[in-house]
Amino acid sequence: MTSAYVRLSEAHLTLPQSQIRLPAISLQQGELLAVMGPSGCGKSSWLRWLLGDQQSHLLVQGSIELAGVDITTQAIEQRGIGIVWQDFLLFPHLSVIENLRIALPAHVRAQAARVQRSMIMQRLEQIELAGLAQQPITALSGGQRARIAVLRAVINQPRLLLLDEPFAALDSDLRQRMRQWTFAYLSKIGTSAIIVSHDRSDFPPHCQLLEWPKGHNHD
Amino acid sequence: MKLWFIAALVSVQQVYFHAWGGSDEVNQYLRWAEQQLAAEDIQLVHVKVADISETVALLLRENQQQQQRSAVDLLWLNGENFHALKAANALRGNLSAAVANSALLDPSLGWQHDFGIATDDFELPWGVGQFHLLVRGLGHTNSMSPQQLLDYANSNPGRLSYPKPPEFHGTTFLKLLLLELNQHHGALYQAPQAAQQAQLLAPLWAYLDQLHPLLWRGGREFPASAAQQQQLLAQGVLDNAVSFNPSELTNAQRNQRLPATIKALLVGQRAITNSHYLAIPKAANNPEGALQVVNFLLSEAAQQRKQAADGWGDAAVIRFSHDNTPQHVFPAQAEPHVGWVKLLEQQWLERYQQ
Amino acid sequence: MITVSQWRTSVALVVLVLPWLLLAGYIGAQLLQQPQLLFSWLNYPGLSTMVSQSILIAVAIMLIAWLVILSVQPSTAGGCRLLQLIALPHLALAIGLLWLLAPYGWLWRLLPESWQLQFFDRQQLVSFVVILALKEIPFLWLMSQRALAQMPWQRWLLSGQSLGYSRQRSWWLLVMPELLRRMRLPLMIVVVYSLSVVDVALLAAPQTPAPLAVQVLQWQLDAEPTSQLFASYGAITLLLLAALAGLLILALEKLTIWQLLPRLKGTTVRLPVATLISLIGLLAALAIVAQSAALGWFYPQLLPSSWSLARWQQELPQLLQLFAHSAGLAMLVASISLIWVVVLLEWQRRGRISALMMWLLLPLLVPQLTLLLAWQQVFALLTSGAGGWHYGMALVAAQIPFSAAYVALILAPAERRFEQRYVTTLQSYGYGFWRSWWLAKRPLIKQPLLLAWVFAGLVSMAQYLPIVLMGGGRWPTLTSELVANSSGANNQLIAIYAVSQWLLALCFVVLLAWPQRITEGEQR
Repeated sequence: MTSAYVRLSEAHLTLPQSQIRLPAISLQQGELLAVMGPSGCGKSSWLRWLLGDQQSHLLVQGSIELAGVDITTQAIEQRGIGIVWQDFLLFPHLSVIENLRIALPAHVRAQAARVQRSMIMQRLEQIELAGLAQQPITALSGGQRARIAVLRAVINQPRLLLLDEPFAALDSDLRQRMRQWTFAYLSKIGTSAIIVSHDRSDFPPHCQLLEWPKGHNHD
Repeated sequence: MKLWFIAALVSVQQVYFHAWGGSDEVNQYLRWAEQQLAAEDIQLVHVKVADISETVALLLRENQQQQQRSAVDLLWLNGENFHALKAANALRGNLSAAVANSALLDPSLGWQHDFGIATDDFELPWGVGQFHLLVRGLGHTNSMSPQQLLDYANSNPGRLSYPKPPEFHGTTFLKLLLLELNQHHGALYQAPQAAQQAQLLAPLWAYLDQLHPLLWRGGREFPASAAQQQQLLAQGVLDNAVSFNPSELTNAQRNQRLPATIKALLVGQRAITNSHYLAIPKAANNPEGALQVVNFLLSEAAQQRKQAADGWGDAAVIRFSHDNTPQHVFPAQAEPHVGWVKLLEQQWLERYQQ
Repeated sequence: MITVSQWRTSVALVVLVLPWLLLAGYIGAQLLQQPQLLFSWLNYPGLSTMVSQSILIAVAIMLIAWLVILSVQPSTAGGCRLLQLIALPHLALAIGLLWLLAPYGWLWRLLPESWQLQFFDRQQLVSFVVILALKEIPFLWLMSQRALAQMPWQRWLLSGQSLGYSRQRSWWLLVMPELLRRMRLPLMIVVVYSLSVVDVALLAAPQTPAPLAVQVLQWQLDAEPTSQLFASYGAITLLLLAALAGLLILALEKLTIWQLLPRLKGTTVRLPVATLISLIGLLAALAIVAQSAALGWFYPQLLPSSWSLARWQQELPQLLQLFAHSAGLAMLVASISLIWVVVLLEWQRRGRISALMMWLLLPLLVPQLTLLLAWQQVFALLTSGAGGWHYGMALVAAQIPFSAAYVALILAPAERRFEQRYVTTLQSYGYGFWRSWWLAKRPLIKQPLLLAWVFAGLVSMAQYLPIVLMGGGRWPTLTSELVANSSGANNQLIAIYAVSQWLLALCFVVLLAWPQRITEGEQR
């Protein structure tokens, strides 16, 4: 396991109500980690800690190593970790193409607008949403939003992608299709990912699974 | 006005002159002075304040903190404000030695005492104020005894008033009545003695007890300032206002701020006369400039312009080389001793503000 | 990371708390001088009337404001007309209204003398309350609309109706309690303003005795040490009254929510607020405009003996310079205040700054002259013997607390509800925090940001004392000239400056009409 791409040390989480001990976890490049547990027990907060988003209600003792570098104290913007939120959080003041353009990696953003545009359109065509490029976000259906949200996260070429209950907001039919599409897409581009859900059926068959430990109540 | 910015950059000598900004005539006069002083490479900046005591509060605070350089170079003041600054040792002394034109000052005008306190060269007079009333529809009367004023009030109930003491016009009105009702008793020019206080004040309170029910709002409410009272006069609510500037009426009528039917009136035969002054803070940032401004303001040209009928109309404090006629518009009445002021203000509040 | 946020918190706290330490030192030093004088202060003639008058005014304003909030309807139309009133300076409104409605006023000159109303006149409690109310209603209306815009009240109404309540009853039971809670601070600020206002009070409120705030200022301006001490006692009393008003507002809110709202059922409370008030405001403005060009306008003439723009022309060069000073100062102060509060609120998200809102809002609750004199010591370090620019900086710094308070009041609720993960998302794409803020948060809370900026500008524009005390008169503004002129009797000149000030404020308020929609970001 020395070649592990993502390495999380054993961690101690202090939440307002409870304390949780997480085992050490390693992920290979392109591997998927599924974290399973009921809602409201600190999974999402932990995910945001991984992202680098400090929250006052969560104290974590532990470290994160990504591609051999300890990034525990790095700021969000330095980590190269992407996230897909449960509620997608597409920017309501921007159109589809603008939502994607803002997420382009820095070296692409430095190139001409034409290059950026063609790169985005190419990706949009891959997911069959090229026709919506100029639409405002508010004009999109739930499934379309979900796909744009995933695309927006991966277009940034993150080293690690976090997915926080990404299908919870969709109805069951759509949910099934989105799962298949997402995991196929992720494995195609070979991104390492951590997905968090309370629903076991959200996970693909072949992946590392972590059952979220039960917390100890504060005495 | 763009000059201002350029001047700020090349640092021409600015003199920040804090002075009451409520009178158009004074403001215009200072604009004229600004233009004249520009020739002497001095930029006079009139900092208009609503009440010079704001500046005095600032100076006292600066003084208390022992600040070396004040924001104020020159100020226009008299009375209590001067007393406070003098007592706090916040003013520059020996002014007359540094201001050549102070030799022109007319010593007979009585400016050596400011509301009963010796000026001791911590301020120099700039002009003279004479307290009088502005009254509507008087006919040919130029003066009234307190009794006649009371009769007037009786036949015109609700039409007279005076600014609420301790506003200084209001207090002056009380001082005037005190003098008149006691036939200018000699004790009033001395520090008040306990034995005489009640005796001398009694006629005043008796008089006011009679007068107040006949005043505006039954004497339960008074204008907050002379300016507000003048507005009430202009709007026809009141038949009188009060003023310290003998030219104010002429100015106001020329500029159609007061109707032509209004005339000046003295209570008694003489007008309480006092001076208003210029002083320089001890910590002034530009004391030389300030002295130069004072010197200019006491020059013949500036004093002449100041008393011109189409300008401010404020009486001169210097003797002009070609003309030695007395300057006062009204016969002058000296102030009672400053000790009485406090008694008047305090007891007035106790009696009429409860 | 912890050290960075601790560092931030300490910086914020030092900057926030220092002004109050200075104030405490200043008042403390004065109180310790001669504690036995408290007794003679308590016996000051008319003190009890001053205090009871102030309480009466505050309670009246509170009840009027409460009625206004109860009668609030979500609306887009009608309200815009109220904005021009927000731009009308307090003093200008008072002068205009008195000139219009007092027994000698313009309006009554049209009618027979026997019709005159005697209750609306200078120096009367009723007219003072009416003027304050007229001025504050548009502010309350605007703040209510802001609060409603941040609440999903349509959904609440639907869920109420789905439970079988009528629409109106759902409004009372579900929407109004939350609206009242969110209007707590604006209500408090309106009441405290009515307790502490001086310039309008000098014109419109009784003077024998005056409301407490007026007397406090007069004590403070009286150079005698005893008076200074009295002023401190008075200032502390005003603070206590403000605290009391806060409790009263809370009590009124609870009483309304528990006792009144459940009983209202289908009742609607409607005040013809917008139309009536904007009409009155417009007339007052018209009255001032007329006065600015009138010569020889005496009772009972309906029109002046002549109209003239000569005075306007004569003042124009000064007016333009003052206009530039006022606008420049207002924009600078508004921008710095906005940035300061935005930074504080972002720091607050990452490491708690204790009692942040209290520190920010405190300047609105303390008599301004007391505060400025307490700060003078520190500002003198900057200005003592220095050039105009130093005074300019001191002036800007001295105005910021007052503008920042309004920025905090308007911005904090929107900020608190903002979904910060929008910013986090952009950071995860490699943008720095403030760049993410600019790209994601700024456009999403654009409207409250703009509103806060405009209000901060209006507040800066209305300042008088800092111009004289901190600015040393180096940077006169339209307001400082207006206040100085208002101490005289030249109605035309006063009107010219009041109209100019109004026009400048209108320039700022016009920005609010910028077409914009309330976006998703702040509705969470």
